[in-house]
Amino acid sequence: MRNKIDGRKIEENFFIGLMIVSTAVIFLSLVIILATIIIKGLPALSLSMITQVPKGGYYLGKEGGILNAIMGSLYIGAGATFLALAISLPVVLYLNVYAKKGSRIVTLTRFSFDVLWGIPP
Amino acid sequence: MAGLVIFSSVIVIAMAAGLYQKSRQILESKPVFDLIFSSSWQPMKGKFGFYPFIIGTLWVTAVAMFIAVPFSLLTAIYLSEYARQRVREWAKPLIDVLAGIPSVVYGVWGVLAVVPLIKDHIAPFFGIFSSGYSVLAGGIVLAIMILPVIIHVVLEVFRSVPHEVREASLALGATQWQTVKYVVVRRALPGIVAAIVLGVSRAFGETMAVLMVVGNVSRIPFSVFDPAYPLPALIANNYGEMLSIPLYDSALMFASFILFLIVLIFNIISRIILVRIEKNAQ
Repeated sequence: MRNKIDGRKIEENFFIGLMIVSTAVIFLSLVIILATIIIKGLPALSLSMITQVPKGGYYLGKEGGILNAIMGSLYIGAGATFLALAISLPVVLYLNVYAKKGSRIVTLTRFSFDVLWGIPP
Repeated sequence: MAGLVIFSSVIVIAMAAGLYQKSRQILESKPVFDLIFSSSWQPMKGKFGFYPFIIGTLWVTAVAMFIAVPFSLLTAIYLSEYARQRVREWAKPLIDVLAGIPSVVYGVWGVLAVVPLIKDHIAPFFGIFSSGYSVLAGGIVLAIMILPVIIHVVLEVFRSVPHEVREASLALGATQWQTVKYVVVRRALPGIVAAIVLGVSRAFGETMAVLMVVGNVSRIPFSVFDPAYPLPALIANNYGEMLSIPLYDSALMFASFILFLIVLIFNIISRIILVRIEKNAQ
């Protein structure tokens, strides 16, 4: 009886150890990713980098910055968010307020959104 | 409003139909069997064999799942059953951060950190020469990308296991680990399967990060240190170029169609399981 209880304890501690290690590995990988990006990226970060467009022709690495790329990302992000909101707000409103709960159209729509979510970018 | 609802739920079907329409040209001129199981990829000569790309996709996905599944399950069990409230409150936002990093950043990180690690340390350790751009690099990067997906779903599923079940097991004298092993995990098994399937479908479709570290050599890989060329990378690298070659455009569309179908099927399977669990929990 005693032995059995000891065995259970050992098994439990072994798996708790594994769990803590795997949790630590996951958060360590997050730290490593952030550290790599910051260490390699920070030296290149300067005021001119984010306030000027490239001046060295098409290729980077000369003068100027990446303002054009930053603005491009912002424009696309803003446009996409606006379009998505314009479509999704009414849809959410309809699904939650007007449609009957658990009706076929609600299930079908939610299902197709889930699928849409999984399509490769 | 109802119109918008219908419109947005028809998008998926429209995408599938569009891809099929575009890939019909190549399906009409070549048998499907040849396309999928031939390994010669020479668009100039009109040979389109997707076999190396399909195998490459499978390799990278398998390696990623092999790494990601044990880590994510153990972490999810720890966070849901053992960790203190404080740890849990800290851990969840951090996992969300991991999920929110754009895939290009993962790719850059892979090139900066994982590829040199494999080239200089892991491959020499096994006595193999590798450029570092390999299935393993893609698998590691991909594994970290899908960890948050699996952890998130599994945590949700564990939460749907009623507390009374756990208490009943503990009251019978079982230790906490026994309760987890025999009661919680068993009860949550369909949900865990769904989470893994969802992870697989994510891994299948991931393009950018994998493309940057996997080497992109259209050969069948024989070990994890060989380069591969997964389907999404093929599409992303080649679409928009050399489209004047006959059937090339259609071949790439066929590749996207295969990818779309696989991801669609996996998604549907996992969603059906998850919806069923949700219904049972209520």
